Amino acid sequence: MWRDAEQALTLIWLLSWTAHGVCHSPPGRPRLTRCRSPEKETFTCWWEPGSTGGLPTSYQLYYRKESSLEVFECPDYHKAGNNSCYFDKQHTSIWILYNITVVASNALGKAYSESVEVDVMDIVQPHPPENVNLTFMQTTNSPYFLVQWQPPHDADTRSGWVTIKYEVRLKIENSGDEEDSSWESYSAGKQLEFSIYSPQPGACYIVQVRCKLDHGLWSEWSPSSFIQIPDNMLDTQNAVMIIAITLTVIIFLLTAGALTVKMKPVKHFLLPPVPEPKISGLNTQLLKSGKSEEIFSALITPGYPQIVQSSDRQVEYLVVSDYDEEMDFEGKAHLEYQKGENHPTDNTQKGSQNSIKISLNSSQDLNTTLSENVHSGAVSNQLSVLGEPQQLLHLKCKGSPVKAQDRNTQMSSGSNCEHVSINPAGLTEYVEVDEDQKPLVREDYSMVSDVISDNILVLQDSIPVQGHKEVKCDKTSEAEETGGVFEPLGYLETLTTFSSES
Amino acid sequence: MTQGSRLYFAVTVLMCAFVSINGVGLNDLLERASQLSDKLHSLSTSLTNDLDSHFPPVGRVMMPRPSMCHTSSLQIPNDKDQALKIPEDELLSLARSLLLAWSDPLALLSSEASSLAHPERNTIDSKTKELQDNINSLGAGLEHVFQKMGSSSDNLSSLPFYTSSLGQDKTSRLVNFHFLLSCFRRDSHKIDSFLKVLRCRAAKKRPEMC
Repeated sequence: MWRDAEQALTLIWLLSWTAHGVCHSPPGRPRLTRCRSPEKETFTCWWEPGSTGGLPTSYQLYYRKESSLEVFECPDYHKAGNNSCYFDKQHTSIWILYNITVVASNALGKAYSESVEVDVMDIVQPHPPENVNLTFMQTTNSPYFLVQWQPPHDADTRSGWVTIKYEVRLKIENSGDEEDSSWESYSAGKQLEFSIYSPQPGACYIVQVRCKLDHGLWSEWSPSSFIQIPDNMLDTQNAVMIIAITLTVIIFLLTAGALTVKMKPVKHFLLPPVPEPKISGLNTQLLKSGKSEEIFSALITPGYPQIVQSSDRQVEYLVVSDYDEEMDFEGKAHLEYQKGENHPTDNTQKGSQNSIKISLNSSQDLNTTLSENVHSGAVSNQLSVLGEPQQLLHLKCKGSPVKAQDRNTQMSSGSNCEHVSINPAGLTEYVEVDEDQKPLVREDYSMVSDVISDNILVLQDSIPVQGHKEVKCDKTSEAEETGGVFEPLGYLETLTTFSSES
Repeated sequence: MTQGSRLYFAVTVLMCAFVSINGVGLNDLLERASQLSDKLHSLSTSLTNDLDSHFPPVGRVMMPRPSMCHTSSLQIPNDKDQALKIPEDELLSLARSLLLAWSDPLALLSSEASSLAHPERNTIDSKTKELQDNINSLGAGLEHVFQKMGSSSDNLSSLPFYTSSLGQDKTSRLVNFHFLLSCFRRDSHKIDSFLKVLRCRAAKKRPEMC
């Protein structure tokens, strides 16, 4: 029994084996895989054969155009290779549907593929661009490399029947273990070249180009082209940059150092300080701090008025000062009369000199009157005028005009002059009145008969002090006469009057 | 402004306007027109793809043949050699005739798009409206081109469209919508090709236009 089964099995196995090799069948159905038109003028269709059925099988392609019933066979089976059908220009029409069928036939039968409807406008796919050429361009400022190519040889780009456009892609080839970099794609329009700027020095680039006709399908990518970017590309550029930056930094540091060291002179050079009206002795810092007592106490000098050391003459001082705190007379000028020593002077005309200082608050109306008894004698040759823009006296010099000076100095000119013109400059001076002249009445303003303008008082029976005066000025003598520090007493103004009463 | 200066100003403005309208060269007009026709075909392709995404298989069987398109009677070149032989004004009139033939059908499509039995109907609706706008722009542009080319005869072919409705039931409406759109897509490709041939021919000294 076992033997029978064995025999049966081997028989069956043998039969099936032989039947496989010997048995024939009609062919299997072929299948149209794709149709392509590379230039919108011709097209090709490819099919995939089914099983052959063991017999030699031949394939035919039949097509029918849209509005006719006539069936045609493929014009060219060989041009495009095996299992293909090439339709040349004469047989290609656009905007017409082709109904294509492939028939596989062998001795035992035929097999029809599924029909495919094709319109040339939908199957346009060009060949890839040709002759892709890479050139490295070393310009000093912006290195780049140029990609150039040619259109596929069968595409007609001149008649306008098709409009081609290109796309370039590139990536850096990594020979090491790093993962592959990805492709960068650039659209190149209709042009036949493309520039890649600032490539990585030392890198190896892979470049590919593809194209498309109007609304069709993109072609395959062209075969890869390679370019090696040289390494030392940026050396000169880098060196120049480094040198320039270093120089700039050095210059900047030098300038900064020079500026910090010589801040003030540079500052004065660039922005010269604007001269401000300054009252010597008036401390603006104190003003800012706002303590009036301190301010006014600063204005008072203990040594003021000047006490003359020389003993040649009797010098009488008439000091008039006006302090806010000491205003007993409601704004009237306060007259003080002091006697001082004479100033040594060479001026023989001068007798004893009196210095009269009258300080007035110029903001108030000069209603204050003062009378002054001036000693008879030589006319004082010094006038101190403070704080008033008007001129008290015009004393004209033979030579240059006498200018009122600031503290510590005196008004004087370089020359001996009889007439001195005085420009009040807000400086402390005092008037020395000749001792011959009568001093002004102390604290007695009854002598004042009239006030002319802001700073002129007319005493009774006296000549208003205005106009020319016989004054002798001697620089050197005056230099000795004055001394010490004069502190301005607010707004000071002195005038001398001559009283006929003297 | 005095009367004289006002008159002068008005004349200057008018002249400027005149020059600006007519000052655009034929090349630029054709360039613009071919850009519009390119856009038109892209839009119709995208619309067709949207429709195809959810199209019933039975619809493909029911679909009328392309020869049933209402513009199929127009004699057009079917390959490059024929197309390149046609004179320019004839090419232009072919393009204009095709374009004119689609203004009514597209109005119908536009009105039916919103009630289509299709999940993408909103997108389809907006794209159809955009298609209509584009057709109007291109029509106006081709008018300018025609005037610029200055041909004497205006031989536009009449391609009437008699259908007033897409169908009674939703499937036939969808199928007819798809069919009309496919006809339009093919015609827009024709218009685009003709205009691009024209553009290249007009720019003889500038091969970069082709």
